[in-house]
Amino acid sequence: MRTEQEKPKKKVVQENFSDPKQEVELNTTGEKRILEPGDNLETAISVGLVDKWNKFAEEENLRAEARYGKSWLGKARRWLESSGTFKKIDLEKGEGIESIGQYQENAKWKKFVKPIVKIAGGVGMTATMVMTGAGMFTPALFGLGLRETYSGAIELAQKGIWGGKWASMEVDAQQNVAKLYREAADKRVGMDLETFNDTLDAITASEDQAVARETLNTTSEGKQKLFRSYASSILSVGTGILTGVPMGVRDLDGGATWVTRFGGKPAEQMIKVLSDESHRTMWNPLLKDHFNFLYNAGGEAAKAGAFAAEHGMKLTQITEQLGNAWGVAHTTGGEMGALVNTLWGAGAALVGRTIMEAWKPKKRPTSHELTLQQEKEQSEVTPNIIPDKQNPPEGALVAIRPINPKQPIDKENTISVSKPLETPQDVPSKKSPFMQHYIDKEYGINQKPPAEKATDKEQTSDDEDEELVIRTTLPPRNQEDIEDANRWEKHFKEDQQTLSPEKEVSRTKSLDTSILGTREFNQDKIDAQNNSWEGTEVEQPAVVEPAEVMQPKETELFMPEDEENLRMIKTALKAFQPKNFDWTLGSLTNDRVASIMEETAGWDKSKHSNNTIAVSRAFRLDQSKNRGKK
Amino acid sequence: MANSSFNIDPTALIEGDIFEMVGLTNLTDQQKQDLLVKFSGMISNRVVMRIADALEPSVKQQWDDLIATDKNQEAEALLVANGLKINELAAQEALALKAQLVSMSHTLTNPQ
Repeated sequence: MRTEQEKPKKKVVQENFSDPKQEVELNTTGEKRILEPGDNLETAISVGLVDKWNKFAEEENLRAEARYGKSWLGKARRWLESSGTFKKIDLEKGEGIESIGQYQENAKWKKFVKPIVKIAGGVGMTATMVMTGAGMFTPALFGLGLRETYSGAIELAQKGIWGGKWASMEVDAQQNVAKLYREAADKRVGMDLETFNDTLDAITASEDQAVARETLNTTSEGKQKLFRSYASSILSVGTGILTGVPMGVRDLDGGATWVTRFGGKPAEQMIKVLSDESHRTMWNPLLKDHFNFLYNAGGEAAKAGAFAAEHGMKLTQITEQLGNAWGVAHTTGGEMGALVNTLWGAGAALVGRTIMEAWKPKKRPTSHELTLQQEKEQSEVTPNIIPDKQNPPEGALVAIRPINPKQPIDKENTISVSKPLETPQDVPSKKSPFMQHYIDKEYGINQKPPAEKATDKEQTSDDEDEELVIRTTLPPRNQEDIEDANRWEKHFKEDQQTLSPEKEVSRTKSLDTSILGTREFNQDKIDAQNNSWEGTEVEQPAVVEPAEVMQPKETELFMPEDEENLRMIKTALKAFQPKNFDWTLGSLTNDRVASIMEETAGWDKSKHSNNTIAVSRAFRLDQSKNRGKK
Repeated sequence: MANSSFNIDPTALIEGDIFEMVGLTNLTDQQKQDLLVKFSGMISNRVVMRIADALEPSVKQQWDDLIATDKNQEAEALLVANGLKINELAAQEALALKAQLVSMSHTLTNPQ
């Protein structure tokens, strides 16, 4: 071997390398050397490797300084190396030295640790312990986190490969539910019953899927935890006992399965492709009889893939499981057993850093968080429904224009709905238009054909009001029904004359929410919303849900007075009951029935809210009794 | 040496002497010590960088202030409160670096 000054630089053939055609040029730090044929291979490797390590350290240091600043880095390093936890170990004074176990017995360790700790502090001690392997499994190093490193690396690998996908699938399922709710809310105005039922079915199905995914994820997480416990026990307790950690995959359901096949030459060659520092090696304990290798770049995976194909090795692209954030990955088969054993240490060590740098596990959102997110998204998409006491949002209160009673009956009803009023005081006090509309819709009076929707007359009469149209398909009504409706209308008008504007707002909102509610909407929420401008269509997914679809709560408890109230209500309503009118369907609102009942003995008109609740409970009791009969 | 450096079981990788594993048996103790000090510096860099990356900006600023005023115990307590264990980070980074260094020896002895 000669120095560069003595002989011109040239490339040489290393005959001792496995590939005799390979030319290698090696440089060392300080003094550049050119190797010639016949030079000692170990010497060549040594000088080349030291040079490579030095260059590696220098480049990494430069990157760190560029990223964090030389000043900050130096300050933080001084703190790290001379204070904190590491300060407890002082080799000069002998403090804490007993905690590092074999220090006194291991001559090599003692030789290196002592001077290095002087220079590099506690980190130097850790580095020496790890690099020299001296006392690796003493309590000291375990105390420094090696056990946690094992367990943590496995957990991160699990989360990285599978947990991310599971969480993603769960969130997707939940977001699908939210999406359906949003879509239903968007088209609630023009939604007919058939569309509503389809939407409801879709929402129910998507909710089932979300629940199923949550259940599956919970089960899988339990399995992962069990495996981590198992694997970390093997690694931390058995590493020094077993001749190598078996890298076969523990099949949690069917017992242990270990990789036992060795691939010989192909496996050795595969090492060259897989093991340089540009690769990321991942161990996936859940892939039975497989080992995962993760790459930073697609080209590397392609190279590995080509090699595997050439040698007839199993190779499965699993890119789709990892996504772009992970780059490209592939899975190798059981014939890589030797390689699996070989790379386990590197994989286990690198996986933590790889994942921490490339991917930060995200906490899986809870249902509550998802709901908050959904509401936030909704408010961003439709800012006009953000609750605001000063400026009531559009849709928060809808006043229905009275419909011309002379209008001919048609099989299709059309109801005009104006934009929401600006303030509660703007609500007309003379009538209850919403109930008017509801009666008309129910009994087929005061209808106009579809062609008349948004007519010029209506547009001009309301100036800037945007006309919205609700269509419901109803059978034509006979004269008897119309007369019944007229009786109702008369009753309402009389009732409205006694109402204050504030009360009407409350009543209108109550009526509104009785229809525009959610499946689990209950009377408590209705009353709560009646006391505040926030609520109604903002806090609840605004799905049009006819009363006949709503079901009473499964867990509701009924009191004896509910039974009595139900009996009284049935009796009282007989006088008003139109032909074939099935009041159990909720065509009458609780609020309205309460008003009727307050005209009878035993009902205190001054406690209207309580009466409304009592009516609601009686109705739900009746629905509960009749459930399944239809 | 080339293949033997990787034909090892995990125990050897974790417990082995890195200089012996990669065949640097002809290095003097001083050369080995110099390298170990260099590796220690790399590990220190990685640990503090991980700390910096893991902390929220406001917490990191708080931590910076503490170490700048030599409030070492408070600085460590702040890290612990944020789920960071220095010893654990150091052990992880040391093991990761060791694996990297060994793998570099392999690519050197098995050029593509």
